[in-house]
Amino acid sequence: MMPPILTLSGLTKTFGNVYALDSLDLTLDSGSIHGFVGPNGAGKTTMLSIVSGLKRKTSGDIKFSIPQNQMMLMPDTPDFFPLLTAQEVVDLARWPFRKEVNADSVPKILEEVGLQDSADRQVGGFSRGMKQRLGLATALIGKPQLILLDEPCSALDPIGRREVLNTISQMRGKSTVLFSTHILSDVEDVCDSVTVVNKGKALYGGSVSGIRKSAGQSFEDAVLELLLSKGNVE
Amino acid sequence: MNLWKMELIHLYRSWRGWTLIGFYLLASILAVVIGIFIDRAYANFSHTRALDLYMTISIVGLLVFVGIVVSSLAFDSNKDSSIFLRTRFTMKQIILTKLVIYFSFSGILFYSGFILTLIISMFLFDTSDPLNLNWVLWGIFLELVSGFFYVSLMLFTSSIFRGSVASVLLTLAVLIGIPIIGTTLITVELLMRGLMDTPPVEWEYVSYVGRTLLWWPAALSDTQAFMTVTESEVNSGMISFFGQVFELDAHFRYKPLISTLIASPILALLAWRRYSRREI
Repeated sequence: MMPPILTLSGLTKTFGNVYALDSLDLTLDSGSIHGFVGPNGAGKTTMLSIVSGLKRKTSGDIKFSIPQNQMMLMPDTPDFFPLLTAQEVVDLARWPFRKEVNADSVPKILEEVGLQDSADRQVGGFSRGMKQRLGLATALIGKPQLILLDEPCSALDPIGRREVLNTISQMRGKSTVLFSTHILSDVEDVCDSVTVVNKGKALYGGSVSGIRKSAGQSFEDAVLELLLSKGNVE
Repeated sequence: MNLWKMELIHLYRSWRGWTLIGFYLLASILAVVIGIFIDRAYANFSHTRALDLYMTISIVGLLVFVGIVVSSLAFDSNKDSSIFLRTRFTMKQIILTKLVIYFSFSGILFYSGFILTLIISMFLFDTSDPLNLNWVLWGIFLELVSGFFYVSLMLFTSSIFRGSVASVLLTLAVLIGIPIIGTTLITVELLMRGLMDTPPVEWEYVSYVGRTLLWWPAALSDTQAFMTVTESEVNSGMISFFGQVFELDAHFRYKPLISTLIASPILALLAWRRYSRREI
């Protein structure tokens, strides 16, 4: 059996007296798609920032079974140097992996995220949704083993959202995806497992179907019930 | 595409690079045009005086350059584009690329303008008193050493704030503010001591504030004066620069040279510490 690609144990992050993450545990199996669900301010972005090295943890352990450069983060509102074209941005993202990934992959990945017609446009004029697609392309170009996606569909129209979710689904088995969102239906559609988090604490961690208390309960109801119980939401 | 190309695109697909080129070209043209007017009025305008003029006017380009470099070093001001860079490149790669590109670019522009002014001036103005190559090379060397201080200072001030505006303002406040405050304090001191009749060239020896300010590393840039030393100045042992007459001495400004060599690595290390520990 493959070792977990990422293990978080007791991960804690405080900002002054505020606990952004409070003893968070998480295990990511290799090749899986894991949803990280919670309301605004639950600590989703903080966790992804710590795992990707952009923020320092206050305490706890983070264990990877892959090299650090085999992990890539896509922020929720990706932004780029506005004077570069989409093709140049993706090519720049390819640079650290230039030995493994050749330049021919750039137009292919742009086509995959639906930006083939805008490849030569400067990204300064891109909409938020286009930047999110471009962010996904820059995250995927290096074929990383672990992809951290912070609300990847938040600015997309329904068709764009469906395309991006399909792209994420196709990564199953090839890469491990940690996918933060507060859109519960997205998790149900593409994730194998889920962690529900609120106020920095994990309320549930396990399979998507396992959160349901009865066969008739929807995933959305199960998550909301969990969040609303024990005074988890003020 | 790599970081080097990205920085060059950042310069040349925007106003930044072209504005800088424009300022140095304008400094060169203005130096020659002003020289032509002075030559018509007084005759015997030396080609080395045109170079003095060029160096004076190009200070405007230097200030624009400071703004462009510091705002570029404040790359964390846009958190999302910073994440793109930081998750793919090391902090060392990002900062070194910016410093090498911007300071090479600035150096190339300054010396291109210098050579352009020199060539045109040699055709138009009096060349009977040629430049002394040894002193010119010594001046260029000290200018490069002085550049290290400016690199470290800009790196340090950029590391204090995330925002580009605050970083630019702080850098300009340090670069322009200290000489202005210093000159004001010298004047006040000389007034209080009843020494206002002292010729300005002697202020730095008579005033306590002036003597202290000689240790400010930026004072090393006064050695630009060596870049226009002529053979007659070598013979007379005196140089004229920005309207002031100094004794021609290789140890002129040795104090800021010492403080530059001490302060620059310290500022660079402090900046590196701040950059590498910064969370986004």
